Amino acid sequence: MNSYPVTQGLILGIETSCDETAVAVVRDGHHALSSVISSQQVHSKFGGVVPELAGREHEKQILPVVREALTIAGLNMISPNLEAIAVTMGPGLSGALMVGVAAAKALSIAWNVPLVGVNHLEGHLFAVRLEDDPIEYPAVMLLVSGGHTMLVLVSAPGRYRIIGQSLDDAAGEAFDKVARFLGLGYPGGPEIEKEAQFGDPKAIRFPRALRDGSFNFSFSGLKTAVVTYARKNPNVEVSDIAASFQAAVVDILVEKTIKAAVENGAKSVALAGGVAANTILRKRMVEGAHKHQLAACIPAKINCTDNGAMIAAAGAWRLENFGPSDLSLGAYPSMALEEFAE
Amino acid sequence: MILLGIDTASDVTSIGLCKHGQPPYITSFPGPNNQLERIGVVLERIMVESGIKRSSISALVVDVGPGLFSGLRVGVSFAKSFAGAIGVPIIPLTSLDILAFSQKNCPRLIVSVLDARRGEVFYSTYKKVPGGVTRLGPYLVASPENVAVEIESIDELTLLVGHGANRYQEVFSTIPQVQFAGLAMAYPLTAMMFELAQPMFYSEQFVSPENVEVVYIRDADAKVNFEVRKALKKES
Ligand SMILES: [Zn+2]
Repeated sequence: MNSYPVTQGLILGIETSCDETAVAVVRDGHHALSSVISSQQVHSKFGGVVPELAGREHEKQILPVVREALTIAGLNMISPNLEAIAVTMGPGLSGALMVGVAAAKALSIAWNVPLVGVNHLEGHLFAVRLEDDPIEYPAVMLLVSGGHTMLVLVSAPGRYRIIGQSLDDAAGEAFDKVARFLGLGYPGGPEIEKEAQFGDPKAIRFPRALRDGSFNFSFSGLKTAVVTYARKNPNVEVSDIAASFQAAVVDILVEKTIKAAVENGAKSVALAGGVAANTILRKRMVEGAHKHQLAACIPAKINCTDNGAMIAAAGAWRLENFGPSDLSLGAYPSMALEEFAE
Repeated sequence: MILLGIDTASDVTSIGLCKHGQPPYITSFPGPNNQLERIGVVLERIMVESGIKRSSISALVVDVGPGLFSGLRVGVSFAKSFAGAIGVPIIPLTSLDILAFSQKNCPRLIVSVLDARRGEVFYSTYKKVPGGVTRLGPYLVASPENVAVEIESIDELTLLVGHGANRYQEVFSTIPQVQFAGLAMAYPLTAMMFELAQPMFYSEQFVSPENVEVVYIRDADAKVNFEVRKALKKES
C-alpha cells in the first residue's frame, strides 16, 4: 500500500451512475460542506430509468450542479482550492457514468488537481463516515438499493467480504415492481412507504423467503405472492397490501443483517443505499441491533440515496491509501465491489 | 486569442488548440468508444506540446452534433465543465454546419451527410454566401434512399460532403451530376471548426457553458417505444 500525502483538504464528489446528478464538497473525508442532489423526473412516466434519457439529463445538469455545490460550500468556481475530485466510475448505467467521469476529468485538468475514481458500492459503504459518531469495526453493512441487495462484512474501511446477496431482484426493484402493480407511482420505495402508513402491516401474512440459514435474499417469490393475492382479493385495501409487503421485506432484511452481525462477531450494523431511506427499515434495524448489544449506524437519509458526499468520502480514503487515478480513467458499468482477503 | 476545439460527435475524434494566426495543434484519432479514456490524456499532451496554458484559453469550440450519442455526451460534458472551470464561453457548432463550411467555395447546392447508424443519415442543405455558407433548412434524419430522392427533386447541381455521403456513395451516385467532396473532408475536424469559429469569437457569438445544447434530432429509443405503445393502447 503506497501512501499519498493528504492534507485536511476539500474533496469534490461527483455521482452520476443512475438517475441522480449529485455533487458534494466534503472536508477531511467526513464533513459534508454541501451536497446537491438533482433527481431526474423524466423517468417517472416510464416506470423505470431510461438509460439514454438519463445520460441526456446528466449532461444538462452536471455543470449547474457542480456550480451549486461549490457555491453552497463557499468556494469559487474558478479557483476552488480542492484537494481532489472523486467520481463514480462504476457500476451503473454506461451513458450516465460517462458524463460524470468526463466532467471530473475536465475539472481535474482545468483546476490541476488529482482525479480519483470511486466504486459506487464502496461509496455507499462510506456514507457511515459522514456521521458524527464514528462507526466501530468490524461492521455488517446492509446495502439495499434499486440495483443491489447485499450484506457486506467490513472489517475496516476498504476491507470487504460480501457474505450474502439477492439471488434475484434487488429490494428496491421489488418495491418498484409491486408499486407499479398496485397502481402507485415511481420510484416504488417512497410510494409504498407513503401508502403503507394507512395500512395494517399484519393484515396479510406474505412469505419471508430464504429462511435457510444463509445470508442470501430472494424477493421474486414475495413479489409473485403479492401479485397473486391482490388479483384474488380485489376488494382488499391497497394500503394493507403495501404495509404487509413492506413488513415482509423489512423483516427479512433486519433478521438477516442482525444474524450476520452476531455470527461474524461484528460490533455494529449499518445501513446504506436508497432503500435505507425507508423509515420502518431504519427503526426496525435500530431495535434489532440494540436487542443484540450491537451499535447501529443509520446515516441521514440524504446520505443513503445516491449522493456526491459518499463518493467524496470514499475518494478521500482511496486517495490517501492508493493515490490518484490516471487521466485515462474510463466508466465501468458492471464493476463489482472489490473483496479483500481477511 | 486562443481556442480549444473538441469534436467527439463521429467516428473520428479531434481535439485541438489554436492560437490566432498560427498553425493549430491538433490530434485526431479514430473512435468511437474511446473518447472518454483518451480525451483528457490528449488534451494534456497538446497543452504540453503547444506550451499553451489553460489560463490563456479564450473560448472553447465544440461540435454539438448531430452525431453518435455517447461520444457527443462525453465531449460536451467535458467541454462544459472545462469552460465553466476556467471561466470562458463556448462557441457551439453543429457537425453538419462544419462540413458544409469546409466546401464554402463551391457554387453548387451543398448537402452535408453524416452516418447516423441503423441505416440512416443526418443531413442538411446549404448554399454559398459571401464569407461562408448558409443553411437552407432544418437538420434532419432519414434513410439514404429518401435523402437521394429528395435531393434529386430539388434538381440542382449538388455537392455531397461528409462520411455519410461516402458510406452510401452507391445510393447517392444515382443522383444526376452529383459530386462528392472526398474523404479528406469526411469528418468535421477541429481545423475547420477553428476557421469557422474565429470570426464568431470576435463578434462575440458565443454562449455561457450552461447554455450549450446537444443537437440530438433522433429521440431516445425507449421514449419512442413508449410513445408507440401508448398510441397502440389508445387505438385498441
Ligand atoms: Zn446507489
